[in-house]
Amino acid sequence: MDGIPTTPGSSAGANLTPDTLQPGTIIEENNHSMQPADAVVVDGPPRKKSTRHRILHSLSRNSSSASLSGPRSGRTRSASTPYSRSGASLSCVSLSASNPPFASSSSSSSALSTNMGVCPDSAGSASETPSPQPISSPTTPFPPFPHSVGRSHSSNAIRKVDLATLAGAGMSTGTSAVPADMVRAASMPLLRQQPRLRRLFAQLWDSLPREVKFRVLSYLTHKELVRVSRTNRDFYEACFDGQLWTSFDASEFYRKIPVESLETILHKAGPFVKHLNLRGCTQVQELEGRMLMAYACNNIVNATLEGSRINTGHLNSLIKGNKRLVQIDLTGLDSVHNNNCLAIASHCSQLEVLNLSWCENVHASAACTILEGCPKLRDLRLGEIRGFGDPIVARRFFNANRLERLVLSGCKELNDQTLAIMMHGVNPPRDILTRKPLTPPRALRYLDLSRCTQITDHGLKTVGQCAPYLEGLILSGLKLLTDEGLEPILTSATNLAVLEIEDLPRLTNDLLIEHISKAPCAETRLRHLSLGFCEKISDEGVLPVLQTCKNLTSIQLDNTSITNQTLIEAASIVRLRQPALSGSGIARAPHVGLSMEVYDCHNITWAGVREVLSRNSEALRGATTKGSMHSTQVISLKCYYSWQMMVNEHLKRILQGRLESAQRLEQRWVDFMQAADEANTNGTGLRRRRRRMRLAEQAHAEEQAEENGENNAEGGGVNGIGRRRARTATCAIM
Amino acid sequence: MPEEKAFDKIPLQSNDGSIITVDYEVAIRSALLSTMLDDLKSMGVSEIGPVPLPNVNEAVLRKVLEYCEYHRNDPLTNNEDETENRKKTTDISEWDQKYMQVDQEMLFEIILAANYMDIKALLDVGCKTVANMIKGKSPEEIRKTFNITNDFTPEEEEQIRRENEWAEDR
Repeated sequence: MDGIPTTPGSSAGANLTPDTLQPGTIIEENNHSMQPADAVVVDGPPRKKSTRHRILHSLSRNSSSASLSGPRSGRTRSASTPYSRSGASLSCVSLSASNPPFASSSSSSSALSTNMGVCPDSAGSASETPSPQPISSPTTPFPPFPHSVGRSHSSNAIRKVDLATLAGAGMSTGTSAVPADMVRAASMPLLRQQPRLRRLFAQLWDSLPREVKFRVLSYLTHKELVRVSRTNRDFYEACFDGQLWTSFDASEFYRKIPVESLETILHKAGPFVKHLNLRGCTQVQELEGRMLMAYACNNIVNATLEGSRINTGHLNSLIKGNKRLVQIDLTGLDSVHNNNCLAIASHCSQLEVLNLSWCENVHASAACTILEGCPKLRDLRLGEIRGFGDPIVARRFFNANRLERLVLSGCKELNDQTLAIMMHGVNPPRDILTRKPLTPPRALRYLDLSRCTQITDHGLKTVGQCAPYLEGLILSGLKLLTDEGLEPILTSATNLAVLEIEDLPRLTNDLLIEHISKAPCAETRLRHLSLGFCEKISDEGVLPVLQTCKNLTSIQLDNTSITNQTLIEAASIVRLRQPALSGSGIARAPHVGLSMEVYDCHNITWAGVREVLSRNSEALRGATTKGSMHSTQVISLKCYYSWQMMVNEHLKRILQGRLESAQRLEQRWVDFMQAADEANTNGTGLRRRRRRMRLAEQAHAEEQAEENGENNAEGGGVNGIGRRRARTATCAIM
Repeated sequence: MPEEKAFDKIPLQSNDGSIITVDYEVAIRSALLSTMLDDLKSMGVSEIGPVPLPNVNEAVLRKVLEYCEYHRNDPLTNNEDETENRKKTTDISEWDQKYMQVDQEMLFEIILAANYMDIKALLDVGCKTVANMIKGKSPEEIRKTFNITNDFTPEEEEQIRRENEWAEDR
């Protein structure tokens, strides 16, 4: 404190004698002058004071290693730039702290910093108040002032904007502003003549604490990291730090990465790797003899090795080395044998998700072993695994009633008997009246039995009786099923949200009318319904389903006998879903509320599709008009392939909120379709009608192509090409 | 809490001595201040003097507070380790992008201040901005743009280049 001038006058005096003033002294002054600032904080009763002290103390201890106050604590930056910010901003402090009585004292200091091109923001705020300092010697200050501003302009392009405004501000108040500082600046030739060097990116980067560097790098993808690692040693070290590789996902570059790099990365990242995805990395087989992945990585939580050709021994050591495995995906690995399953069963106590689909050498009984050995397993996928015709296997599955998701798709040996045993065990006690098995309900929430072709109604009934918690059920391709088999499931599974009953040729409309639309899950739960290839299904069955299932978001009706009526009905139902106004009274943007697949339905014509299109336009209009009570949900449609492009384009325009262009597209398309219909009828004027159709088609094609032109809106040339191409294409068809 | 309204306005003091007073909602964007204020509250302190932030100068503090002010009504997220599931997205909202249009030095100081004051959202935006500066550049371009000297020996460089060729895709 003793070193600092205590009155404004004397501080100005110090400035007027710049020869004695070295940057070092300023810093020293400042260190003192921070003390009163701290002291200001500490007021109030003594008890409070101590707590404050403690907390404030911990505050400053918290600060990261490299901090903003770095230069003051001796960072080398100021060495390279003698005229560094520390000099400027610190002297501000010394001024402002030393003349507290003047409220506006900071203006002088920040004007100083303006000249130095350092703290633009502070200067902007302070420059309205004229400086109180009286020592204006009008001859000296002004020449250097704009000069120095201009200098910092050139040296500091990015700050230009700030400085430009500041320069203006500085000029307007300039007459009275801080001549003392000017004098000092002018009389320090060294500082004035060397423009302040901008700190280089590298220096700035070095100033970041380690954890922040990693944070930055964590936003780069693996490939980018590897690229960046080549810049210099520091980056190389940083980029291959294990922290950044906790999730190693080779899916982007699995074909390119050579085994050496894979080895290097896995070696460096080793214990950090938690999520390993080597899907399709056939190079993994070459790792053999070079390095055991198992030794490098021992903390893997999720491992995806699908198609990686990892060999049996490797896989075993990987499994044995990683006790924390939660999820393993071994889809389609021939090298997985029953002994690998034993290793999983005995080592992976944390395992929750396992996918063994298409592992040819795995037998269902090995899967049972895993199920018994891993107490947390809840998701088991066993597509096309052999051995499910065995009642003993089924019984083991029944005993371990833990699985929430079971995929048995394509397990052709599974039959009614074994399915029944999996559901209720052997000879279960039965209710005397209803003959229902009295076994505890299965935990299953998701069951996939698609393509288990032996299953009939009889086997499926047991699922209905024993698995009341089902949320997803996939029964596609069980050609023997009839309506009767599905009934019990629909009555018992109250949470059913996903139902896929594709390709069941025996299903009739009765199932839809009597069961699905009346099922407890229909009203609120059911979201996805797939009825493709059920050829007996028609409007009669689909309409009640559409009416009752209010939360349905996707329905597949391909290859069924539905007609335009379904589309019209769907459009009007979606219109009545939640109104456009949300709680806050602001209309929501249009969004897809229902996706329908109606391709290959020979009874669907363009008129039905048009109905959907105009409904979508209406939704958009509802979203833009105030107070509209219409829903903003729209329908996304998958239909006849030659209409599909137009439908997609229309939906895109709707979702982008371009009502007019969407309507124009719709109109052109309708014109074209009408003309085409006319042209195809017999009678007089055939050529005229054909010509009209061509014109309409051209107009439509142009409308559709316009979008391409807009997207590549680099110039008219691109646009022209887009249009021309579209036109020639239609000509070719003609 | 006996005095919910205890801290209406929080005066913050930058390292160059200027004091900026902000609303409570703005201040608690910083986890550092939020924790401190909570502690003070639980001790029954009701008045607060200027809180010194010795690592932040006025210009940066104002800039940081500008961000806090704009985002004062955003939900506060406390879950720290989203890092694992965090998508490698570097999308930045429009306002934030504009906000980050400052020179490199300011950008890094904002990042440091956000790190110090523990304002996670701002730290993320800053780090994303820097990441975007690095993204999509070849090593040579990075060196040139950021004035980084290449301190590999030619042999080393060649070896690293060969090993990492697979990552060069364009």
